[in-house]
Amino acid sequence: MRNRITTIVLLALIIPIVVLLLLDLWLGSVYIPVDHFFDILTGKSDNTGWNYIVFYLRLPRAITAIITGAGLSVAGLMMQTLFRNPLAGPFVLGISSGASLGVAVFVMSSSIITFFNMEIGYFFGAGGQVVASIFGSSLVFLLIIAISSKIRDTISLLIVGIMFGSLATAIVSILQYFSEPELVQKFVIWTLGSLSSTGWEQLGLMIPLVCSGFVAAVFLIKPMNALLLGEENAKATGVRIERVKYLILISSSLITGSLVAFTGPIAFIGLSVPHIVRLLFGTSNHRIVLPGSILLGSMLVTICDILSQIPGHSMVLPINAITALFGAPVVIWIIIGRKNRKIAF
Amino acid sequence: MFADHHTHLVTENLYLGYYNKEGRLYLLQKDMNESLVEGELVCLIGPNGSGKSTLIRTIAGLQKPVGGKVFIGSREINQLTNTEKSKHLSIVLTDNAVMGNITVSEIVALGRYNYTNWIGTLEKEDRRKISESLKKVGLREFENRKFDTLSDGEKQRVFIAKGLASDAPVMLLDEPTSHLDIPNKAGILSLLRNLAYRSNRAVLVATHELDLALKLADAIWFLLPDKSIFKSTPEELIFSGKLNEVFGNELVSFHANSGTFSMNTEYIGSVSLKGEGKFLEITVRALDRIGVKVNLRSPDDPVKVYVDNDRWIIDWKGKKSESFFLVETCRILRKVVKK
Repeated sequence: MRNRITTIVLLALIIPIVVLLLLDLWLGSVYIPVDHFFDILTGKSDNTGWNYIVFYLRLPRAITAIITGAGLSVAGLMMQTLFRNPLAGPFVLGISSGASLGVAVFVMSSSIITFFNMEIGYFFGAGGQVVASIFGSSLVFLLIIAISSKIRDTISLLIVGIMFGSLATAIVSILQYFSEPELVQKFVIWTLGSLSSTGWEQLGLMIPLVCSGFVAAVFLIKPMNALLLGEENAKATGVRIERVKYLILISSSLITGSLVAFTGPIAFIGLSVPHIVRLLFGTSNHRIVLPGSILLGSMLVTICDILSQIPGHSMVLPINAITALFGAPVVIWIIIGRKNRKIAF
Repeated sequence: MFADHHTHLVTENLYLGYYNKEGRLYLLQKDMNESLVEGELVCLIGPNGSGKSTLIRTIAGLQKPVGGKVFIGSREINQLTNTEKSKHLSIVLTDNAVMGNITVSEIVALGRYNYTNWIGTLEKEDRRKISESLKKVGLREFENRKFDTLSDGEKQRVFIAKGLASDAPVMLLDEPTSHLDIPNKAGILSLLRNLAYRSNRAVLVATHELDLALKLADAIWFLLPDKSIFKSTPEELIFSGKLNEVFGNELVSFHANSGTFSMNTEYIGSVSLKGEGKFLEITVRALDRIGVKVNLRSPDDPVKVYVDNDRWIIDWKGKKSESFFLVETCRILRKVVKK
């Protein structure tokens, strides 16, 4: 009975997502009248300019928002369960920074090894950036897993994650120092985070990568529920713990890496969405929290995207600023509630 | 033979221990050849650091033995996959680091982990086992309670129910009674005995509750400091003198007659005690506790105590004092006896 209600609530979440998606398509720097907007959607409009804006600029961006929100939330959820750490997430553990480092090396190394990178850039294009990013994120994740077996303390692990982030940033700064100004500028804009740099072509790469991460996550629901009892207990229950660890590593690096490559590091979504879902549904059962995180994550990033565009203005705020505005308070709330950490988790 | 007793688990020349960071071996037990039989509760006792947890973890296959083998049925444990292992034995660990918002039945459902499909859907049979297990541990009404709202004793019961739900014939428990109050300790251990008897499980419990173990266990595995194991019935253990050898020191000693430990009192003096009524026995206990030796027969101690029905009279060299309170009597006696 309770399960049925939860399923209905989860399905009902799709309605606000569709509404928000429409809003996201409608609102923007160029004003489109409502009636005309629906004509465009149904293909009855012959205004090529508006058609182009909706289908080639706004729609890819809106889809990116949905995928990013869902992806980062799922990655955050998996990390929180694996590390038994309510504050874990792609950004906090330095996974995103690892991805940034990968991208930085890829984008800016051309000044150092011009010839070599020209070759790489020629062959891989956007794909190269994705590969570099996934490589960077899995590298940091692997290090974090290795260290987490040595230190069990929640906060220490986070500090190590932050240190990895700083290390990555330091290497990036050194790279910037030696790079050509236009490449540095390209990179800095990328770090601000943006949902609008992905067109249909990039989505063709991003969607399958992120979705394969989702498929893995669905297969991880059962072992992740067992992990709630602790690693030792999960092992005794029959979970093949090493395999699960590496599956989580691969799938969340895949998700984080491929998202960060296109949107830049977007903070706080991965950390806060699973918490909000657990709080809303009153359970840590991954059968509910996983779909809940996918739905709520897409919803939240779509809202952030709508807010970042300031309807009617040509100005677009960096998406990172908006996600931090609501995400940072969530983190503070979790830390204050640490006395009730088990309940908050 | 009246009945065949099925042996579920056998250890063969098992050596227990661990390697420290420098790779040096710390041996805890050597050459263990023991077996667990269905329908029996075995209590594993031994001083701190004698290897109780290591034994449980090694038998459970969570840790590799330093030497020797553990067999489940005809197969060696390290050759079984995690799934096969957990179908044969369930283990309840001390470190119940359960996280988050999770209900009692969700935890017990994880006992069915190896029977459910890829996403963990519970079939009719699974649900039946879950509610049956909860009933057996006395938590029938607790199905939808959140785990972190339970008391420590109830939490242990949930994990025992999870073990039951797995249908594994062997159940291993690592100190399930620590941090519990006395009624809960007794409750958990007698629950385990009932499960061993009625559900025909082989149950091995590591515990510090010596007196309860001696009263409830079918067999005791006593880990000795010389790295050997003494296996016997509780009664044989009591009269073997091993308990006093290992646990006895200048403060406590084990008495075979009563089957309990008692404090070794250092007497500060003696009194002769006379009296009648229900307070006599209490007075003997109280005086023993404060270190005053009681002579019930000889009346020639310089200090004499008379117990009347509702008061105590102390006679010290002819001077008498009278009190209605045991505390006060003890206070006076402590001063008087020293002099």
